[in-house]
Amino acid sequence: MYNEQQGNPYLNPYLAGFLLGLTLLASFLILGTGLGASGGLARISAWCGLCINPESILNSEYFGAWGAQPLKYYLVFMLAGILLGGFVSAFVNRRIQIQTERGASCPAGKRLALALIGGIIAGFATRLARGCTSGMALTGTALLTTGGVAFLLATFAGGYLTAYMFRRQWHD
Amino acid sequence: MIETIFSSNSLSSANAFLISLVIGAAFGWCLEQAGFGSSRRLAGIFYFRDMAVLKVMFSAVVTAMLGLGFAFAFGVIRPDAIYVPETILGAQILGGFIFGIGFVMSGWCPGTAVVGAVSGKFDALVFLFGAILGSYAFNEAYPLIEPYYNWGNMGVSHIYKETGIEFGDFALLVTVIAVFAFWTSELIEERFSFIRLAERSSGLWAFSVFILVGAVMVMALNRSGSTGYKVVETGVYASEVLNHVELAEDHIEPEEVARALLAGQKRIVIADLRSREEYDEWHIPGSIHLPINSAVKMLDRYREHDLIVLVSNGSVHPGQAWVVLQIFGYRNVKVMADGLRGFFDRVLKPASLRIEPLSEAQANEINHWRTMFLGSGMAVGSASPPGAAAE
Repeated sequence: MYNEQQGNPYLNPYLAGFLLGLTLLASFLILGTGLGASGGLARISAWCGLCINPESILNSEYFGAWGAQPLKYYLVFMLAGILLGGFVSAFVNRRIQIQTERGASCPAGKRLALALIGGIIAGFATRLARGCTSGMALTGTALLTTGGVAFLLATFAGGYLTAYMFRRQWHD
Repeated sequence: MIETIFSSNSLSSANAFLISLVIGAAFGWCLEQAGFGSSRRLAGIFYFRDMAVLKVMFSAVVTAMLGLGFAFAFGVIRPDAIYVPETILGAQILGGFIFGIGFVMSGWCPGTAVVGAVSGKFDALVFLFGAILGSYAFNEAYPLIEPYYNWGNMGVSHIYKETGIEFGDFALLVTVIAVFAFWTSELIEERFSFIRLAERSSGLWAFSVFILVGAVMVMALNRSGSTGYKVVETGVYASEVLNHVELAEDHIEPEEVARALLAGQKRIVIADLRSREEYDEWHIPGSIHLPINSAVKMLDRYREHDLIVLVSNGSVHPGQAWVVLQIFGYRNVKVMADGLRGFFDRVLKPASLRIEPLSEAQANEINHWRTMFLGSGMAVGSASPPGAAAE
């Protein structure tokens, strides 16, 4: 029951990690920055805000600093790249399947509620920490920054301490 | 030495956007290949069912870290051509902890959720919507959170420096920990996972050896010259170097430095060897901060300048650095005699405080120097550099 994955099997995790490391290295050597995902999402958030209420967003302290065109930013394009690359890989390996991923005994509504609340919490936390798993944990740790390593350890601490509460959504 | 988009200050160009898109595509491809388009697989690490997150993350970190170690050691790229995210320790520990809760609750993080969404996962789409809302909420709450946002700001901080370990040694340590974590993960999966995943453990031996050998090489390269510069044959004779010393060609008087700087006809760089704190407190306007252990590397771009002047509080450290720089073929380097203490005594000390009799022209020159180097009205009567206690 556990592994219901469609299509081709995944790549060997060490090989996938090695290739991901080479991608990160290429980003360092060409762009001069690491990888990032949450920065792009936050820019989209600011853009949505501008569509609804431009005055208050432009005057706000945090989003306001990004100006009237927050999407003109390299991390927004990187996010679009993640979307493209992920889609091509999933499509070629026949792994695209419309579903709400969850344990068989978990109602879809509960799973989606957890995904939504978890998303709000994670989105908020990325702004506080200035990055997510990509920009802070992966990039920061590869550069051996104090903050990157601390973020990585804190993420796993937060995850493992509360994992028990959220285990049921995966029960079959 | 290559320039990056960041170091050439063009991250907002169309070119940068295109490259970001391509790198992002490679990133997304890797995440999907690793199986991170599945929240069940991502959350698996928190229940010891599927350790792929740890394996992939650690493999990627070690690969990029060692790759950079080689790139720095062979002088492919300058460390300052790469943007290093600042450490705001309190905010990042707090943010990381909260992020971890959101991660285990939803089974997603931002990058993987994008891959999940294009793989057809509805829960990933909902997560992304939540993350956009969460970012929005942060902006709204920012005035309240601002103190926490800057809590524990350390600027650019490297963990190996904070712990007093050399980069290469620390990189080896991280690699050893990674290999240990890989093998432990395999044992954990064997114990807790219900079924054997197809890709399990194949190639782990080879990969472990590969990264350990790489890490030992990075460590060795970093040991041989703290920034990877080895003494190579430069055709310089020791007698020749010492001859320069005998002819007093190794140093320059503070007054000459002041005159040359103000004349502005030569391309001169003043390299300040003191600690960062002392440099930040006061330095000769226009001088650069030069950590003494990276002097050979950092001065490379000034090889064609007319003059490089080494300064510190005294002249012991500059004198020692001068010898090393001679060995590396720098012909344009001089030590400022008597260091910054000399500069303060002989250039910046107000005419009224001087014991020796001065002509009017001399007094005028001193006043001019004081205006130019101290700014008008600043540091009146100050006859010693601030923080001049230690060399």
